[in-house]
Amino acid sequence: MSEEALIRAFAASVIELDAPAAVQADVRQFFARHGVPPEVAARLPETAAERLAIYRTMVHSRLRAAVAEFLPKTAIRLGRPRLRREIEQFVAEAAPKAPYFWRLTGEFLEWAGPRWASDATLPGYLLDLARHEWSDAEVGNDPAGGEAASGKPLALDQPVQFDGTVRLRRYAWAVHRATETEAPPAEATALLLYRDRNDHQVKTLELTPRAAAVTARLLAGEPLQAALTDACAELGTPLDDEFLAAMAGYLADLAERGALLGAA
Amino acid sequence: MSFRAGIAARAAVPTGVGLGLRSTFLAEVDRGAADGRVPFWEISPDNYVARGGSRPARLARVAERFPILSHGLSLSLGGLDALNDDFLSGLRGFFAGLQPPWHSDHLCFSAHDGKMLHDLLPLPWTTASARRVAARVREVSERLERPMLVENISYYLPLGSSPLDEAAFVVEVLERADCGLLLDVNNVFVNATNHGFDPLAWLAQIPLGRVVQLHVAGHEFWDDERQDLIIDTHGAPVRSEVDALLAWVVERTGALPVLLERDENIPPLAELLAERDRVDAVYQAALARHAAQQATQGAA
Repeated sequence: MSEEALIRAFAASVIELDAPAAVQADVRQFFARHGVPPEVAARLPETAAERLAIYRTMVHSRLRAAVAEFLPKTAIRLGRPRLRREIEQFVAEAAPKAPYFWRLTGEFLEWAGPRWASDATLPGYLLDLARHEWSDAEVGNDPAGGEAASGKPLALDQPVQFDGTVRLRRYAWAVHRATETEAPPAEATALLLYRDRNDHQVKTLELTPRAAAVTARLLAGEPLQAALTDACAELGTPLDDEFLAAMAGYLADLAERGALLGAA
Repeated sequence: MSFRAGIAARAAVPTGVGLGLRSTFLAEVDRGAADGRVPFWEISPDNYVARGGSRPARLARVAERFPILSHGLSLSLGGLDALNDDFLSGLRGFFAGLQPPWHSDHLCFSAHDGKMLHDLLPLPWTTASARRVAARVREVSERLERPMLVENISYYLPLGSSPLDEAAFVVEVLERADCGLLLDVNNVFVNATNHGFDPLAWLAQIPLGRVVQLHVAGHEFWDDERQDLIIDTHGAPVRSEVDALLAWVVERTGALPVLLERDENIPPLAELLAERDRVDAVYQAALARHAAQQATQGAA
């Protein structure tokens, strides 16, 4: 049906990588190539090619602006022309799927991740930096969080209950220390993020390797004692009083922050 | 139940000039900065559904003090893809708490082949297209368990041979779907200017009894030098020509909720409230003329 073909052709002019050149060369042929009957394509106004280009620019600019807003440091490093090409490629190959506009940056990163990881022309830290920047929106907007506490005190033989927004992120670079222009140090980094229950701001804690090892296990649902034991085994450190005192202090701090709610 | 009966069966419908509740000033509004200044707020549920953080609690507090109208961007009512089940479920759940009197979205497509394009893309103005869109509007209304309004969009490339075909298309969708119209008079003005037709001739084709809500907004040139195309950016104050269209409609319909849209170059809340007051003066004057006409007709 020509109605549906018109919609398909219009969408293709926004989505397909080679659409700008094809539309400019012969807009009626472009529509015909997408199934629009020639007599219908012939009725397109003279301005059709120019207006389709405007629509394409509007769609892509909106997506690009959202990505740059959520990933400001990443966008600066990519530069405007590269980000424009990335968005064009993203729309053509994957595109946003969710009806929620704010989520598109996460969808974009999911698509860009494997590409950037193997792209030697980009800074080695860029993907980590982008993921860290996105974490702020991801955690800040997470539908989880603010759950009622179980009311049970921590117990060695029980798993723990975290606030639903708690995330552990590991990076090969200290991306949280990157400025708009300075590269982050190449340094294995573990960050704990959570959304504050009072002011709803996303808080970031830089974890020691042992705190990260314990947290990873607790987040996976291991009982507290097993998490402590397995973390020491992994790191090759003794399960001694100093370690236990440090972890007790760490967990008490998380509880005070509302990130750790007690035993599950 | 007709769309009018469906709306009447719900909570009191606000009238007057309201504003879009934007994240840039949500916290201010939550603290009471607009109390007594705005008859209602319009929200886009697409920005709240499946989203946590400070927004839900703030919106809930605002909703305790103001009526809330719901206007979306993402249903892709004219799209070829199947309606998004998860999205509709999310909207229905969200509305269960908020209970807006209706939900509205645009006469456009915004997704294709599973790709969400996040823009308002035009539809062909044909009966076949109207029939397909109307069926989807009916389905959405049933699944959301509330009346639906559709909004006329700004288009920059007509997919029909005459601008007035658009009005005929809108009317056909309204009647086939038995839904209401969210009449965006700025979009009528933008289209009339860009495509060279009389906006009043366009409005004269619309059954005003189906108009349930109005939108007004500002617009900007695509190219400041050429000035041959204006874009519905919602990024500038409302122009006097759009005020005149608003007045033309309100003189004929009487009281309606009118939304002053501002999504780009959003000024401080105080400035936006001042513009709301200016548009409200246009609205109130038109309403007074409507009342006078009603009185004259009653006396006759």
